[in-house]
Amino acid sequence: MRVSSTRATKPWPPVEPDAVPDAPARLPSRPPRLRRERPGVIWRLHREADPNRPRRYPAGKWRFDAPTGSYPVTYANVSKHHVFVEVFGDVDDAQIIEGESGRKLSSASFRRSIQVLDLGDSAVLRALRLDLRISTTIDYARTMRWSELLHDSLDDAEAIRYLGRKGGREDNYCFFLDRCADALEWRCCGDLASNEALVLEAGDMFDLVFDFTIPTAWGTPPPRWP
Amino acid sequence: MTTQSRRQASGGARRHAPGAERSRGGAHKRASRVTARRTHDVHLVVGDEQDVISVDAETELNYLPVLRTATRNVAELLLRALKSEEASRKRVAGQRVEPVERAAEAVIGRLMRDAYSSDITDAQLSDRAQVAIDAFNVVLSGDRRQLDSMIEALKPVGAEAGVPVDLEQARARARLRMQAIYRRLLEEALTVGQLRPYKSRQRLQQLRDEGRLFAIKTPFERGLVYPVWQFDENYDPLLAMPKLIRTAREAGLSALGLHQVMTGRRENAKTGVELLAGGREDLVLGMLRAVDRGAAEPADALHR
Repeated sequence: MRVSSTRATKPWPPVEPDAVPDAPARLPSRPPRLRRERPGVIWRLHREADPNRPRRYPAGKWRFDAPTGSYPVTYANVSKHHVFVEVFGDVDDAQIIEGESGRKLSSASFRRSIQVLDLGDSAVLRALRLDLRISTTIDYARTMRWSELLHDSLDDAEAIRYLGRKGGREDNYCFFLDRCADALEWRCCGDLASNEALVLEAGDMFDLVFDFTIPTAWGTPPPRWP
Repeated sequence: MTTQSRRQASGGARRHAPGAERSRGGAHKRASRVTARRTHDVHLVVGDEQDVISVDAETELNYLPVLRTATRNVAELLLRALKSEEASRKRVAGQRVEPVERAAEAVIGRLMRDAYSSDITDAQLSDRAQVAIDAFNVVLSGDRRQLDSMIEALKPVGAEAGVPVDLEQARARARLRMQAIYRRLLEEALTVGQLRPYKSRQRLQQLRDEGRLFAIKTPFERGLVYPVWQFDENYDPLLAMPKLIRTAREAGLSALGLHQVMTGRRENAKTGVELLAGGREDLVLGMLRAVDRGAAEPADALHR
């Protein structure tokens, strides 16, 4: 009996049917509209001393980083709770988060309005021939190329506003710091250890357990890579 | 009469001499039990001895050691009950008895404090006690789906921004979630003893040192446990493991973090383990690189 099998020859999964389209060489003839806005307070979890001077990577690392490190960006969320799930919510299941007690929490207010490209706006998405996957894919090589295109083509754009991959309607911002660092007024709220109530609240909301909130579980810190 | 008014009526604390009400122990002399009454009298029967204490808010702290003894006894009872029903429940592993006792102490201790210091009804207190015992049963014996259901059920009502959090309750919920996660891990991992027919302890360590295997230390096991997904059918490490471990370390993930990212569900898509089995190592590496943890500053990091 002849058994036909296609499983071994077909790539799995099929060649990214839902992939975000790659950034074109230039923007469409009618560029997306920017919106002037003055956001309320925004929140950032970070390790750097000054959120306006974040760590930069020569080949980029996060969603809208410069793919060649040519311009600085930083990220923040509009919710001081949802910023936790944006940073730590890697999977849908409950998670234990280890060794993050020293990460800092900062908030920022705005000294002036900024020009924002809103990737949650359907007109903008349509103008760019994109959809919301630009905000959820973890194919960061591709999203970084979009960032570079938008940064280089829209001279007035100071930030990208986009839906949270995990935070849903609580939007994220990616700020082009070469253009709007002066607008951001950061205030450090201490590290996570000194914000235990907030950490526990966020843990309840998003099924996250931060190890430092349960010190007696171990007695001594666990080995990280036994 | 509310608890508060009863407290005022009781007029402070008194402690009866051990044995003063020993006859109450009756046929249960050998058993340890505790009865918390809403009248501020707490009857403790510990082995052959019995104490009756009456407390108010000011003197509560003086009796915490007694209460801790009582809760430990309750934990023992709970464990005994669990062990006695092996036909329907999984036996508690010896190494886990101590942490389970500690957790039981904490939760039941909280219930006891509620019993005489909170303004809740007897029915509410009874409900809380039932929830605690149910939770322990599920943590000790439940499968993954049951654990998930329990965690969902334990989410506090109104867990949203701006609602003040009770720190002790929130810590208790976090502990419960942590136990559930570690219990799940134990179901997804092999101990050194289980691996012994295939790999010696020394060989396992050698493979770890070479970055071809990783292990996790849990509060419930004396030794290390090895997530099973990193082995092939011959219990050799998967070929992709060195790259996965290296990438996870670079991303700042702990060993537990790597396991969580690999086995966790993601937006109804395949897990990292499933992607790896399907030959999509590239996607798995992308998932690991997308994790934001306390990675060390690389030498080539740029700073403004």
